[in-house]
Amino acid sequence: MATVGCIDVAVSNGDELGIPDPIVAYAIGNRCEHRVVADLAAVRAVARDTRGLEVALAPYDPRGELRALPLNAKWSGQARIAYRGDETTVTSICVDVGGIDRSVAATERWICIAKEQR
Amino acid sequence: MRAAWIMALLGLSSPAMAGRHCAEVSAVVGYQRCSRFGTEWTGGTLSWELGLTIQRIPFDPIDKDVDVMQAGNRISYRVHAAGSIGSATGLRLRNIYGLADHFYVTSELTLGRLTVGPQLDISPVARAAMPIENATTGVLVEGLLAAGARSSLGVVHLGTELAFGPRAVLYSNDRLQGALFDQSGLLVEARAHASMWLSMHWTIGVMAATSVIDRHDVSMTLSLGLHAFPYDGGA
Repeated sequence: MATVGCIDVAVSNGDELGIPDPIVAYAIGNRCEHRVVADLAAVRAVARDTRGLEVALAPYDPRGELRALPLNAKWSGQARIAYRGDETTVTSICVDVGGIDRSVAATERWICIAKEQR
Repeated sequence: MRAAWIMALLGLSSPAMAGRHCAEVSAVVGYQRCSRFGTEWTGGTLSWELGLTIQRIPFDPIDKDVDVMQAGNRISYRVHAAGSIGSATGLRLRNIYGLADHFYVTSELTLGRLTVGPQLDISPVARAAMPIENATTGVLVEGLLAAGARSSLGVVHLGTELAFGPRAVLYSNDRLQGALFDQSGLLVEARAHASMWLSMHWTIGVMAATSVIDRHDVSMTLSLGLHAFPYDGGA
């Protein structure tokens, strides 16, 4: 879990049966008394495979939904995003959530989660 | 989840929650069939205000006959009053729906009683009865719709709105059992209001209003507001 500007963000493994891509589940909360813009589309993701190599991932977004959106004051939201880019077995995913609050300057904040082997 | 739950209660559910219409298969972006990314992070707002209102009301002249059954006989009385300025106090309940960040609509109901009413002269049309002493009471009923705009300056909200709807004053007299008559009309008011956040769900506010039809028709309302969403979303 991390706090970036007004936004608390927690990241967890969100893998789903029937979906081959690794999925990251985001839970975000606005701790401020005003609305903020949360930008999950700006999150960078990197996978580490069984060989220890790092591969950049891209969110699976066939309908072009991912974009910066307002999050109400003292409110919470969640999203589950699938990532693609590595056909080999992923052992962990790291996401940089440092740019999630558009009202503050982005600085790298990496959070890593282990992925279950399937 | 909390947002979804409250929005479902308020009937503001997303397509994903309208289960009859669309069966969601996944919560993952790109695999969702019904819902869309981020739709529950924001949305319309809903609040309620309960207030004490004090009104100054211009009364039209009254000149009408009312029929009353007394001891099995129908007796007609003529009610007469000159035009005057009166006043009323009452309770006002407002339901406020935020349509966008700065625009809202409201529905409201006001119930009150006249504190100063017209001087009614109630006399029998025929000479079969005695004149009735002026012990008439009046009840005020208003049902209005309004639309307005608002903006926030820190913890203070300022706004203006235009309201319209019917207003009726119902008169009754203990000596005229069963006889009610009313003065009613359309009320169109311009209003300005200010409110201040006491906490993330509660506000206290004041509203001044004046009729756009009669400048003598004014009111002042002090109210307590309950907001379903913290800080109305914080826009």
